[in-house]
Amino acid sequence: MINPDQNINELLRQKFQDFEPVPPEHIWDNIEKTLDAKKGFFWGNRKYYAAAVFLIALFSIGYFGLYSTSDINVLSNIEEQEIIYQEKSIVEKEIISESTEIIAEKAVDNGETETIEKPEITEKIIIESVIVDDKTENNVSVSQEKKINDIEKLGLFELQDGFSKPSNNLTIENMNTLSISNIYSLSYGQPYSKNEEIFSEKSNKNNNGHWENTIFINPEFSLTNLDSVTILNSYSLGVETSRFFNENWFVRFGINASFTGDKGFAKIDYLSIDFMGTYDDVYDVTFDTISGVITPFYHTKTVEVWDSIRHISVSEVTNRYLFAQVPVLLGYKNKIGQLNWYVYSGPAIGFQVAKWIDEPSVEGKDIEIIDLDNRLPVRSTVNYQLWIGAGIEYKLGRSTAIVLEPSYRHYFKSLYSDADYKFNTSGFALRLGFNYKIGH
Amino acid sequence: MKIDKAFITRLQNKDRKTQLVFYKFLSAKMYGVCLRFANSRDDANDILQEGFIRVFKHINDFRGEGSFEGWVRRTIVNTAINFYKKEKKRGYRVELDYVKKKYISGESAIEKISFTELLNIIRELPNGYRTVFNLNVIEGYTHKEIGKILNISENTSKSQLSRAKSSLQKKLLEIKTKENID
Repeated sequence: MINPDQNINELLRQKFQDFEPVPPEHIWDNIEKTLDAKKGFFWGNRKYYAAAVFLIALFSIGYFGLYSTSDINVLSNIEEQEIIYQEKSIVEKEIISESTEIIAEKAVDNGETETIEKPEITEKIIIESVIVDDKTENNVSVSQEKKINDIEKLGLFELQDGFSKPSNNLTIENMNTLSISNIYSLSYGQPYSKNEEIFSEKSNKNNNGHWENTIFINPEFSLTNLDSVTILNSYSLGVETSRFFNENWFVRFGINASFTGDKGFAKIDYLSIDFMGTYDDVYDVTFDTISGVITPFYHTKTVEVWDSIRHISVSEVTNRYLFAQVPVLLGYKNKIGQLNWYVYSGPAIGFQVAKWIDEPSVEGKDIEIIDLDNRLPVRSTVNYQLWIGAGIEYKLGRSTAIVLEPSYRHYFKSLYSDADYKFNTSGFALRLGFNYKIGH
Repeated sequence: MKIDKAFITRLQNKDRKTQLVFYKFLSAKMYGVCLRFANSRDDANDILQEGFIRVFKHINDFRGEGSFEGWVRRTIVNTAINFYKKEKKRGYRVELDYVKKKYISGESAIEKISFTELLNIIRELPNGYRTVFNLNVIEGYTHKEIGKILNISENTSKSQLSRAKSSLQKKLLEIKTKENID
């Protein structure tokens, strides 16, 4: 027995199987608006967010670099005071044997003219002290002794023969307890008026934080093979600035103009009026009698045959682009001597500045293109990369060097906006650079 | 139109043109589903809109297991169910009493009446009945599955379906009787 329930179910199912009413048109508009709104909130503006993040990063690095310079200089001066002290021990011996008071008097006598020429911060403070000291000799010895004692109390310096000398307890950690004024006042312990040339030279050498500017030129070879696209080598010219925070670690940022391109094919389906050949058209026949025989004469004309022929041609197309690449890289440099090596890694953004898109065409007259299928995708306006590289630096002089950098670049986002070409690509670049060091 | 892997990849890449092609291809079929689940045409429009947004948004969740159209259909059905779950929170109650089955032949009426008439009959069912009816009879879900989806017991689902069918058959009989009189 057939279950009537089953029958109704089946009937209803069949009835609704072909039920496909057309929805109102405004629904798609609403869907599109909602998708755009969600996209627009973040993803629609991601290139601007990325640019903003990069700018903030650049300014932060610049600000941090400049801000930290003075602190680094001061700390590195203090760190190496002991070395300076030992190196100059022979010169200082004669002066050390004198009392503090006598040295102060000497400074009053001849210190101003000698020290005022030097713009070093430590020496400037000495001048101020000397001016105060000029009023009364007693004040000199009291104020000077007090400062030395303050420093002594910290346990970081010891008084030896009337001069402050960094103690063994002096470390970077306990340096936090030392005020800048106290650090500067260490100059009291130095035989400043006699050895300023040596001291100045040494203090210059103490500075490890510095800037380096490098001009790079490099080819980049793609490591990615695509079926219908050949990624051409790109050539870059750029300037990058490195900020060294100490002897080894640095942050590098800059801008590179990169000229690149793609080669591919376009399929062109077209009609052309082609010459097919000729034939002799008999337009008249006459008869004549030759030697008693009736002979027909065919009067002909040559007719050219042209026809509309459909062709499919494959045309090579090349698109070229100019990108501005902005890297922010963190690196480590190992200084050996004249030949140094370093490694670095970091993100980079490429902004499309200009593009030259090839239009496929067919030579000839009377051509009618039926269909054009350009298989060469157009590149996106922004791409994101990860740079990993190493370099060898050969010093040409105190401030100049040439560098050679092999580097690997991974492109996170597809280079192309076309949905069919969503591939992560990678490249190998060999960079040749000229490096100029600014600062000490 | 063939929905192949490349097409789904383009959808996953949020290509707008592909999304439009896809919408045009399936919207009518899915609109039919929405109309069956919805109280009104306006509700059906909202469900269709919300459903396709969910499809586009969660397209990456499709793992390639089973038919893609089936996945879309399930997403639309879930959207419809959630749509009325919100309504349920606003005061809808499920009646749990047992209904004695009465088989009334409505087969010929089903064959004769138009989609619109049939749709109107289904729409007149209370939300709970209609949902269970649609899920079981048209979409082919079992009572166990329905129970899980709607967060009701299996017996409740059966009870709801009986009531829905009873109500539907009554309406169909009315139509049949009216036709005979005419």
